[in-house]
Amino acid sequence: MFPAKIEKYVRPQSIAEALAALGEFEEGDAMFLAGGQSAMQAIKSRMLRPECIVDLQNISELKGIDAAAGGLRIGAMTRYVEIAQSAALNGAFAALADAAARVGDRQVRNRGTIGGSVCWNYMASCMPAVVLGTNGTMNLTAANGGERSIAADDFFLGPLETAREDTEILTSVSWDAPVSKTGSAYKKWGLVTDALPVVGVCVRVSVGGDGTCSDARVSISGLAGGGERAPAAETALLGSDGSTAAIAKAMDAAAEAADTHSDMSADADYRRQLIRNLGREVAASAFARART
Amino acid sequence: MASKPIEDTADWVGTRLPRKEDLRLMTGGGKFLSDMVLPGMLHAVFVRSEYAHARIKGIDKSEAVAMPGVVAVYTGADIEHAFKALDIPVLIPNLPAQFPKYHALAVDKVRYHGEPVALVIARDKYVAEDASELVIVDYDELPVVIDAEAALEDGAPRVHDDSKDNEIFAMTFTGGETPEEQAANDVEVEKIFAEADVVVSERFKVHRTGVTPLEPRGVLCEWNESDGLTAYITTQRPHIDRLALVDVLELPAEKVRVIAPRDMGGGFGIKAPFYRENIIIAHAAMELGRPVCWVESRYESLMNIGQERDQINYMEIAATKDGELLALRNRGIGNNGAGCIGVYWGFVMPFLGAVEMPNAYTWPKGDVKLRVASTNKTSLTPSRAFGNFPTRFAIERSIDIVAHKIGMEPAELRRKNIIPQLPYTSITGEYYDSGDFLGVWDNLMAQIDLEAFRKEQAEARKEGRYIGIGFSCGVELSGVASDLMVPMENQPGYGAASVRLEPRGKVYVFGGDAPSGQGHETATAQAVAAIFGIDPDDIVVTTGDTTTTPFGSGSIGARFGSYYVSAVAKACEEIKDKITRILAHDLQIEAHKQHFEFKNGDIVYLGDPTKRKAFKDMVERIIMWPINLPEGEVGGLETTAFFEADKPMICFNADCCMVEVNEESGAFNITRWVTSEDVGNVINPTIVEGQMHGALVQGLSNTMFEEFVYDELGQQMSADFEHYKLATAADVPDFEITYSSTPCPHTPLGTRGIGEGRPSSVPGALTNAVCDALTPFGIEITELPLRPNTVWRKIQESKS
Repeated sequence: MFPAKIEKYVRPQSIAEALAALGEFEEGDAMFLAGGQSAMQAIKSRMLRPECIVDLQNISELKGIDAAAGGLRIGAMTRYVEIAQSAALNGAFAALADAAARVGDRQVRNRGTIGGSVCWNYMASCMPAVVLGTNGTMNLTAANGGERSIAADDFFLGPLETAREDTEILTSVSWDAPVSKTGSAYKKWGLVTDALPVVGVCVRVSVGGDGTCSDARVSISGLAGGGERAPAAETALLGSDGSTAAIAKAMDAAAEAADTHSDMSADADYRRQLIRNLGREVAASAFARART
Repeated sequence: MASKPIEDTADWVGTRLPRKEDLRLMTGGGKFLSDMVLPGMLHAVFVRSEYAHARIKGIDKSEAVAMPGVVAVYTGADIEHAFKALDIPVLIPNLPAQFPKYHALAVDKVRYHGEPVALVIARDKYVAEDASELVIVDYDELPVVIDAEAALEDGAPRVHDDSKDNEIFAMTFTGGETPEEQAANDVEVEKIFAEADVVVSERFKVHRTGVTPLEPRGVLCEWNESDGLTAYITTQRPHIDRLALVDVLELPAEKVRVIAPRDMGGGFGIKAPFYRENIIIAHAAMELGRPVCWVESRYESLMNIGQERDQINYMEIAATKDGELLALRNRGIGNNGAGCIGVYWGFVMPFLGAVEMPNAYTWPKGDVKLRVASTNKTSLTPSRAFGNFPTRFAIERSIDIVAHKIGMEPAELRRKNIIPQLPYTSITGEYYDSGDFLGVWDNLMAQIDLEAFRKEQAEARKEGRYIGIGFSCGVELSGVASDLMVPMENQPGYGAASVRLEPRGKVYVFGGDAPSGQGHETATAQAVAAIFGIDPDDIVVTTGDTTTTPFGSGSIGARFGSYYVSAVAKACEEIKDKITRILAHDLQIEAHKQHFEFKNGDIVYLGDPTKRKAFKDMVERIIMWPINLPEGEVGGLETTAFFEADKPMICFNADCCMVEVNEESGAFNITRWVTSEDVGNVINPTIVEGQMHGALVQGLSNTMFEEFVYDELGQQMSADFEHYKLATAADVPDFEITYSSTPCPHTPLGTRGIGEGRPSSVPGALTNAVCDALTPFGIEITELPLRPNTVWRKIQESKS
C-alpha cells in the first residue's frame, strides 16, 4: 500500500497561504490534509491520488475552542483529544465531547480533527451526525477570501459528500448560544470498543420553564446514507415531559422510521433495536444535562 | 537483565525472568525482515486476481515493463516452464487427497480473489506499485462456488481443472483401517443410537476466522554464483522452506540457505506453510542477479492468509438418561478454499480437527467422518488452534445440549465422562500420554462456587437479569510426534538443538525452529542456566539459519516446551557427562555425573564439597588445554542432540466463563473467566501465562468479532481492519489462570509444549455460558460468530 506519486507537499502557516497553495493546482488535484486519520488511508490505498497535499496542521487560526457568550466555535483543526477534554463542552454541547472521547483509539484522537471528519463525512462516523444533531454551522472561506456559513442540515449531502467546494476551506464549526436550558448527548455501538459506529444516536433537547421539551433534535449515525436526522423522534419529544415513557415512544418512532440496512456488522432489525436502546439512554442523558 | 530474582541457579527453571528479547523489541531495536537492506535491492509487488474464478485470456504487461524504474514483470506464462509446479513431494502430506497442480503465479485461470497473477519488480516500492496498476489482465469470468456443501454437489463449478470433483479430501477416522471394519463399526454405532435414552443431533457452523500477526509475510532473496541462493523468509520452518526451494527450483541442495529473521512479529501458524511467493521472488533474484524483496501489505495478508475454521459439523451424541456418553457421530464438511499452499493444502487442519474431536471424554464408540471441499476462497491456512476450533465448539456445545435434555448440571456431566486415567487412546486413535484430567477439572471447580452461582442465577432471574455459566475443556497436542508428523506433514517430529560452549564458559544454543515472539531465547537460556548452574545472561540463542542450525521441522504445534527444549536439555546433559568425566579424572576420584552438582558457577563434588572447580575454568581447560585427558577423550565441548519422546504427548486445560446477558439488546458481558491448566513443569510462568492470555484473547476475538466475509461472487469484503474486527484490550476480561500441573514423564525437564491449541476451548465455554443464561428462553446457539445481534434474534424468536 504505497501512494501514487505526490508532486508537492506544503505546510502553510495561515488560511490565506493554504488557499493560495491549493489554487496553484487544477481544481481537485490538490487537497487539504487535516489530521490525516482517514485521508492517509485513502491516499495509501490510492482511492485518492492528490498531486499536492496542503497540510493544515501549522495554521493556528484553525485551532481552538471558543465558548464565549454561551455560543461555541471550534476551529476546524481542533483535535478530538482537545474536544474530549474541554471543560467548555457541557450542557448543550456535551454530545461533542461524548463523541470525541470515543473516536478510534488514543493515537487517532491525538491527531484526528473535527474539521477533517465533517469534511470527509464518512458513512460510519460520529462527528457529522453529532454536528447535525446539535445544529452546528460550517464556516467556510473561499479562495477569494469570501466567507459563507452553511447549516449542518444543508452541509452533509451523503456519504463522502458535503456542500464544501474543493476550493473552499472549512475554518470552524459554530453553534449559537442555546435560548433555554439545553442538554445533548451521544452514544454509539460497534462490535469492538471505540469502533466506527454501527449505529449511534445524538439527542439535543431544550426544556422550558414548565419542564417540558421546547426543542428537540435527534440524529442517527451509521445509516447507509451517513448521519441523518430522525424527525419522528423529534416530533415525539417536543412538548413531552422527557419521561422514560415519552423517550421510549420517541425512540420507537425513530427506530420505526429509520432506513436501516443489513451488512456484516449487524442486520437491519438489529440496527433498529440499537436505535431504540441507545436512543433511550442518550435522550435520558440529554434531558438530565438540560436540567442541571 | 539486572534483576536476579533467585539465589540458586537450579531455580532458573520456574522463575519469572524478564524476557531477554524484550529490551530490543520494546525499544525499537528489533531487526525484522523489513529492516533489512541489501546493496542493489529491488522491490516486488504482486498483481492479484480481482475475481474469484476466471479464465486468464491474456496479460498485457507492455506498459508496465516500459515504465522507468521497472526492472522486470513476470506472469504465469513466463514462469510456467521456468521451474516446477508446487506439487512436489516435500510439500505433500502422506494423506490420500486430490492435490491440485499450481504454479507460483496463476497459469490459465485464477481460483480465488487475491491469487497472485503477475509480479512487478522495480527500483522502489512506489514504482513497483505504480507499474502493477498498468498490468492489464483480460479475464473471462467463470461460475463461482463459495459454499462447501454446494461445492460437493454434482454439477458444481469445478475449482481445479485437474481434479475429478471438488472433494479434495475425505476420511473416516474411526472403526479401523479397512472399509469393511469401518462399515461394521458404523453399524454398531447406529445400533447404539437406535437404542439410546437420549440423542442430540445438531448442525454446528463455525465461520471463517483465524490469525492476523502484527508482521505479515515477507521474502528477501539474493543470489550469487559462489554462495548460491540466500533467502530471508518470515517463516516458522526455515529448514522445510529450504528443501522446497531446492526441489522446485532444482538447485543443488548445498547452494540454498534460508534464514528466518531473528525477530518476527508473530506467526500463529501462518508462517508455517511454504508459500508460492517465496519461489517467484527467489527465481527473480537469480534471474536478475540482484536482491529482490517482497513485503506483504495488510490488504494482501487479510485476503490470502490467516483464514481458517470455516466448517460445518453435523454432530450426534448418544447418551443414557444418567448422563453417560455412549457414542459420538460426526459428519464434518470443511471449506478448503483453493488449497494452493504447500505442506497443508487447506485440509490438513480439518484433518487434525477430526482426529482431536473426541477431546477429553470417554466415548465407547464413535463414527467420525470428514469431507473437505475445494471452493473459490483463499486456502485455509494454519491458524493457532490448528483445525480443532470448529470441532471443539461442536463437541463442547453438544455436551451442554445433552445435559439440558436430561436435566443434568453440565459441569457434572463433564466430570462423569472425563477420561479418569491415562494413558488413553481415543476413538480416533489419538494417544493421550499423561496428566490428571480430573485433577485439573477439580482444580477448576475449586476456584468457583457452582452451587452459590446457581442460587444467584435463580435470584437474578426473578429480577429479570440473566446470568450464566459455561464450561469447556481441551486436550491439546504437546508437540507433534513423528508418528503423526510423518503422515500429516511428511516431516519428522523430533526436536533438535546444538549446544556449543566457548572457552570462557559462555554457551551458544542453535535451533532450527524459528520463533516469532514467544520468548524462546529466554526460556532456552533458563533451561541451560539451570542445567549448567550458570546465569541466563551467559547464554546466546540462535535460531532460524539453516546453515548454522540442525534440521528442525519448525516452530509449530507447541514444539518448544515438548521437543525443542528437551533436545537442548539432552545436549547439555551430554556435555555435562564429558565435563564430569574429565573433572573426575583431574581430581583423581572415581565419580560420575550424578556425583557432581553444577551450581552457582561451580562444579562441586558431592562426596567432598571442597573438591570443586569453577564451571568456566573447567570449560576453558577442556577446550583450550586438552592435555592430560582420560584415555580416549578429546578436547572441545559441543554437541547436537535429537529428542523424540517414546509416545506422542498432550497437555490439558479446562475453562469456566461467567456472563450476564442483556435481554433487550442481546449484549453479553463476560464477568469472570477462570482456567485450570496442566502444563507440566513450567520454565517461565510469565511466558506460559502470556501464552494463555494470548490464546484466550484470540479465542474470544475469533468467537465474537473476527470474520472473513465473501460475497456471492467470491469477492473478499473484509480485507482491512475496519471490517475484520480484532479484540482490543478493552474488549476482554481479566483471566484467572490457575495450574494443576503434572510433570510430563516423557521429557527430561518434565515440561509440556503449550499454547498452540488453547484458543479452541474458548467458543464452547462462552457460548455455553450465554445459552445457560438464556435457559428460560430455551436457546441453543449452534453457529458462530457469537454476537449480540445473533443473541438478540434468538431471544426474539423464542418470544414469538
